[in-house]
Amino acid sequence: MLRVENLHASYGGIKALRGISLEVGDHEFVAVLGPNGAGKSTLLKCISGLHHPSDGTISFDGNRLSGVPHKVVESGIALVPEGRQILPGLTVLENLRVGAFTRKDRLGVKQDLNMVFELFPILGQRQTQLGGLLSGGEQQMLAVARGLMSRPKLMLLDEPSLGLAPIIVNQVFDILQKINHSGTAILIVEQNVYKALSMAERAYILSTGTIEKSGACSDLRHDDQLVHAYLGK
Amino acid sequence: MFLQQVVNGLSVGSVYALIASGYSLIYSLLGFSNWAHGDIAMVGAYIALIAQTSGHVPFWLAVVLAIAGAGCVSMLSDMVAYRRIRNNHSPKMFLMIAAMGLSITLQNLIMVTVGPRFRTYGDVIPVRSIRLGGISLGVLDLLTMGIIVVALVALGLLIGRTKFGLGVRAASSNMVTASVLGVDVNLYIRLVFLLAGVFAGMAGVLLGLKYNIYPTMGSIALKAFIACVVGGLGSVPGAILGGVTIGVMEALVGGFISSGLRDAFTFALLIAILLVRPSGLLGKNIVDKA
Repeated sequence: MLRVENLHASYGGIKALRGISLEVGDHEFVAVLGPNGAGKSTLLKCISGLHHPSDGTISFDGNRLSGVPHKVVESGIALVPEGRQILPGLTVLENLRVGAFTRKDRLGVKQDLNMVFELFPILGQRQTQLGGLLSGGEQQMLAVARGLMSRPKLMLLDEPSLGLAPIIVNQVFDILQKINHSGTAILIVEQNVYKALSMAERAYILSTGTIEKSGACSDLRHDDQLVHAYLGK
Repeated sequence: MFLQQVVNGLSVGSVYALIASGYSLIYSLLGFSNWAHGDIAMVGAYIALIAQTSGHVPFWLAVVLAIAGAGCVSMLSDMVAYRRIRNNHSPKMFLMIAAMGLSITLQNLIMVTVGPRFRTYGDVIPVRSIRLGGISLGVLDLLTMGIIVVALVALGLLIGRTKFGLGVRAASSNMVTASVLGVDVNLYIRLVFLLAGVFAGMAGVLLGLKYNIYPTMGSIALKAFIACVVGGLGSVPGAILGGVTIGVMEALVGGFISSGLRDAFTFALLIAILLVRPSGLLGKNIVDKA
């Protein structure tokens, strides 16, 4: 479904990505792991149109992505950005409605609002509260819910566990798995390697802008070198 | 006498509010002071004048042309003067300087093409007044306030209740986030300039009806800017409150103290607000708790 080929990207003169190729299939749950500065966020920025790659192609369902953020959303890709990026002065409901901004089917949006409130009961209770007044965990729930509101075929998540208590991280990942089981493909960028490897089907290990390793998570979990480098065992 | 001055102040203040609301919309979205906003009002006033004197069209049509024209000039000003600066991540200061340049350009353009003389629309609105319990209300003042109240209520509904308004609020909260959620931010910026220009055009014609039409009449935007700061930069209700406050204060100072001290009081209010409450009366101060 998503195919990234030989992607290069840089900031000024500094190369962040040096020829990355990866793929996400229909309904797949894929993780991109790696240390700080490996280029994980840049990869998601390139896909969602926030950063323009210097070389390489990104295609989705066989079509090249336009590189214009709102058009990427229209084509069926939702980004749950790093740091949640809740719009603080808008209510929870308004944040969700912005998530559905590209859609024109009012009835479907209404149904999806109900679906989201079922998935995240806390958001239902806080509909009229300002997004900025939610706790970190609630904001992450809202960010995921807001991503769902565009009814994406593929959801990109940038470090959803960042700054959250372990129990909340578990909740978020449980919900991601539910979302994945209901048919939405997921591409997640994480530093929480252990958690991501236990949830995703496949993973790519990124290091200084190149893919160092890739494979099924069940294999990577038993890769001594990797476990040593990232899990410290 | 007191009430009479309050009513006069409301009339002037409503025009300030009209200009300030557009000013504030642009500020909330792009975070810079659009110094050319008052000159858009001036251009609107001149479009109506030219349509009336050279085009010989009925005045209502001249007004429609002025409003539409000012909206287009405002939108074009973004495409010509600001868009490139916005898109290459330059400091906001560059936008402000570009706006100053645009302001001078528009003023000189009118001076060269139409001339620097003071002009009027003539007697299009009857110079009559209605007496109401000791207060005399000019027909023009009543009309001005009526039109502006309708326009501002419509603006409030547009921003607060529609999908367009949701997009504007999302983009002014965080442009990058709004774009990844599916808001076409460039389109919305253009539409906001159009909307602000429409309001400026309306204000320009109303000012021209009440006073004169001249190339530097846009300097009234300075008062609108103060109105925005007093009310809270970036807050449209704040801009309206600030505009009305300044209008009423000016009328009271002019009526009871000295009309020469009017502006001194306005600037004193600006300084006082900056010292005591820098975010303004209704300033947005929404913090992110998490």
